[in-house]
Amino acid sequence: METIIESLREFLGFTGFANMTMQHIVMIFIGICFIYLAIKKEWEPLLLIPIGFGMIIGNIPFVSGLNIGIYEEGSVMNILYQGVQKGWYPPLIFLGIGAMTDFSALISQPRLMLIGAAAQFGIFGAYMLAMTLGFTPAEAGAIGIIGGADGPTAIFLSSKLAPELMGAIAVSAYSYMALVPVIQRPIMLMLTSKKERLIRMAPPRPVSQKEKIIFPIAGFILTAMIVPSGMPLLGMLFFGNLLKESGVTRRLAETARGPLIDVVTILIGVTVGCSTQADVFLSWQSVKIFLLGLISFVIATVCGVLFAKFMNLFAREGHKINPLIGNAGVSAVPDSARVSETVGREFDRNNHLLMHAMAPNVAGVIGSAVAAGILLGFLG
Amino acid sequence: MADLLTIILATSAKSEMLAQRDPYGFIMTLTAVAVVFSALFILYIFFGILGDIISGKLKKKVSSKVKSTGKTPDADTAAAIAMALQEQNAGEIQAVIALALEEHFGQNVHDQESYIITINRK
Repeated sequence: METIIESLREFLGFTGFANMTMQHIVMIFIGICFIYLAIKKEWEPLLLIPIGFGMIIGNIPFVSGLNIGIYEEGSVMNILYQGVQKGWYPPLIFLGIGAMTDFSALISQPRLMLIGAAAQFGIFGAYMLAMTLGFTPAEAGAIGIIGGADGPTAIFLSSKLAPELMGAIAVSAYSYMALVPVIQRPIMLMLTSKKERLIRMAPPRPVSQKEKIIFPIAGFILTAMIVPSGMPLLGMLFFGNLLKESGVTRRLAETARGPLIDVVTILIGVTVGCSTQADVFLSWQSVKIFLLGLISFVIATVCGVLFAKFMNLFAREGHKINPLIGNAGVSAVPDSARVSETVGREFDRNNHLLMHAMAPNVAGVIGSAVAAGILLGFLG
Repeated sequence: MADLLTIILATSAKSEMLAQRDPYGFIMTLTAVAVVFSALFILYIFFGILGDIISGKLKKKVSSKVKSTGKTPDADTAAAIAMALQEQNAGEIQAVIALALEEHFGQNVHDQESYIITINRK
């Protein structure tokens, strides 16, 4: 009898209940909040549900040595986490993004690329702030990339520059991407006049198939030649787009934008969520990262909108840009473009800005990949 | 964990050097922003020129078609709409639209118009 009681006592010592701390409870609660927001509010459900559930998985307390934790060499979760640590999930996601993105809006109005470039100020604004807060340049670069509003790029760069901060950076990036409508709308309204919000942009010209095929090839060569360190992301993005536009690789394009991106999204979401173990994640540093992430989003939106207004100073009548598409320079595709459309239609129900906003939006994807390449080149 | 340590050690040396040279990140920011803008500016110029060339070619194609057939596809469509509306002849509005379309697009559809609107009610 005594042996049985002793065994039970020993077993109880192994359970999650016995090893639970306040930090674990907080993290599990955050994970449940993510799942709630994804289901109830439909904020980025494809990302928040895997991340939220991953947080719960990663914060079930256990006695180390069982080879089950994400940071324990050779465990199943650790093997799946290699894709994040070594940075090979993000390029695969970029392949899928390329295969599902139509660059026509950008090809027909190439001047809108510059708005995508202006929004990258968010990355470098946050970089400078992080430096003044005492982060090292590598850490500051990894934190700054949150302002690119691009989850895979943030994971890719932080895995190279500051792997110890990757959990906080990834969760911060994806959380703010989900909050794009909440963050951007007031800034857009604050920076634009009613007259500007009513600007109707000239319809984009039709784009030929030839241009759509030239775009990924020329786009890749030109950008990768300037920033070779951005090659993994840019290469896969433009390659995916070529699969889509070539017209002869439909099956490959469908796989890239369907099953492949779905599988990688599940793996990246769950493992990033798992990596937020309470003992690693809950710190003042994480709070600072969340704050800097928010500031970088704000700077990116402000710069995008202001740059669109600046471009209007030189634009001829009839070619003016509605500054409400400036927010779409951050690369949260297509959420930020949808915000432009929604806010634009609040003031003129017949003014559809979505098509125009997609141009800076996809330029933002290219811009953030270029920015990541620069940071990696300097700091990696 | 060992991989993580290797990455941290490799980046920290470069990072420390940069921290000494550029403690507030101004130089890095200016350089990086300039590079991002240049990359996208080059794409803008390239695709701007490419678009001009291709749309210029398209215009040439259209104009050569106009020369060979004497009318554009738009004029054909407009004339078809105009004729359909005239045949339907349901009222003055259609007749006015038909005439306006003919005048706007299809000066080569009819040689001369009398500019007198006649409506035959059925």
